[in-house]
Amino acid sequence: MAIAARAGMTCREVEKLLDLFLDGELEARTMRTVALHVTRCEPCEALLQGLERLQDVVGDTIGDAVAEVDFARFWPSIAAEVDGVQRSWRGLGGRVRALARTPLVIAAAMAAALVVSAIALWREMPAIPPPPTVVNNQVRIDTLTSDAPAVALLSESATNTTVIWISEEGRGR
Amino acid sequence: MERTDTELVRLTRQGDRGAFQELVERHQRKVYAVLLGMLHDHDAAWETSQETFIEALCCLDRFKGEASFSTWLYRIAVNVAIDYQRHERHPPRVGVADTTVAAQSREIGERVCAAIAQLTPEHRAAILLREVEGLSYEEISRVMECAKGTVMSRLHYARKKLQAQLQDCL
Amino acid sequence: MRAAARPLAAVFLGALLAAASAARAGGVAVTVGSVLATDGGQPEFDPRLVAMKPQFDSLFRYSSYRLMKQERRVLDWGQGASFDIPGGRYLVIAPKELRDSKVSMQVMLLEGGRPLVDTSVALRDHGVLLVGGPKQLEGVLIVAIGADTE
Repeated sequence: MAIAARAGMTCREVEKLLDLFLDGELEARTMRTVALHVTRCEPCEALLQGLERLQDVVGDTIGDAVAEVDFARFWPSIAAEVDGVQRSWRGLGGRVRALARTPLVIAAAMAAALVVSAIALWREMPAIPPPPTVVNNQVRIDTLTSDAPAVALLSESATNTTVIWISEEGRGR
Repeated sequence: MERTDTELVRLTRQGDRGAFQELVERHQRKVYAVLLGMLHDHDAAWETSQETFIEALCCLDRFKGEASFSTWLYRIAVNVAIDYQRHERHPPRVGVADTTVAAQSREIGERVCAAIAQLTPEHRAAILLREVEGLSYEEISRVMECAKGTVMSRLHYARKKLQAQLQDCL
Repeated sequence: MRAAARPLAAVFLGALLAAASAARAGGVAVTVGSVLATDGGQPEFDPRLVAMKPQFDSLFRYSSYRLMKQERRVLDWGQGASFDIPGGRYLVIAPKELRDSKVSMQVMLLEGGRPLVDTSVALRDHGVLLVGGPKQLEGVLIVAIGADTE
């Protein structure tokens, strides 16, 4: 959502944006402004936590209920109907083939098939290049701050993969 | 390598039964979750999930690939649920969590379901697609065929209402 | 269910490839995978993480790695998005620009409003950055962040 960020938003302004913040729907700068406000403002943090708890409780309630369902029976319960639908497609195909006895219809069908094949071929051409075979995860870190007791940077030489490692030692967790 | 939904849709259109089975098995839990949240009843969710997949198969030629297959499927599921409720083939029940073990979580579950049940179908669908399925506003707007701003206000309203009803257990 | 994990073939390589068509429209496809790394017990390696195995083996000494959730979003330049991370944390990512085949972005990992990491990085297109260390269940969390523009 294109809502302009302003430094020092009031609680009232932040409150209106908490839904969007929680859902990741704010523009970057506003996201950051709200995040920083919430870090420093207990009432707004409590409101955000309330939204998070609601999200958890709704997700967990439905998730737990679905987790108990045995889906092994699901496909068998619709397979017969699926077969019926697919049989009707074949029946339709059969009727089309029956019509194709007329030479004019055959010619028209061949022309249409050519067009369809050309479209299909065009649509299936790999428009997306394959991923590079040599992985290079090189990263440049311009700034880095953290509230954690310690942060380390690790890197691996084969693919230049970088890890920002947070140590929570000393926090009593 | 796992086949994409698009590939499976293409094969299904060619009559490949196994491809459709793979699509069903891939999406059945997600579709069921939305329908369970919409209808609050396992039997109804089961029945409408079946209906959703059969309807999807019947109108597969209408899937143009503009949205993802799951978005398209959710749209069918939400419409099937609304239609199901409109015709009230079964009275709405509130008992989604009745199979959970812990009494406390059962109670919370029942209260959550009761609160969701009081929302309008549109608000209910929006909150379920967001909180349970994790869809973005853009995706929800495609499923529900409405503007992003409408999604935003539906979610806001639904959350306010749920919070008011569940304030002592949140 | 909440995880709302998208179907995936192999984390990042597969997912980024699938994401590419949308990203070509001008945005950047950001993929965030949350991996639980644990020690002890039977060694296990989630097959969905196979593309990352050499890096994990080289960087860490955990016996098991399991993908807890994965989320992919196509973001516009300058648009931020938040990704739910297990443990009630969330990751805010705001891609800024693509320059010299590098995606510049602001990455914030927040825990209850507390920034565990707030960094400005330039990641190679198709590349992956890892952020790890927060405790999660009986292990630690490793968050893999991938960006892809074409």
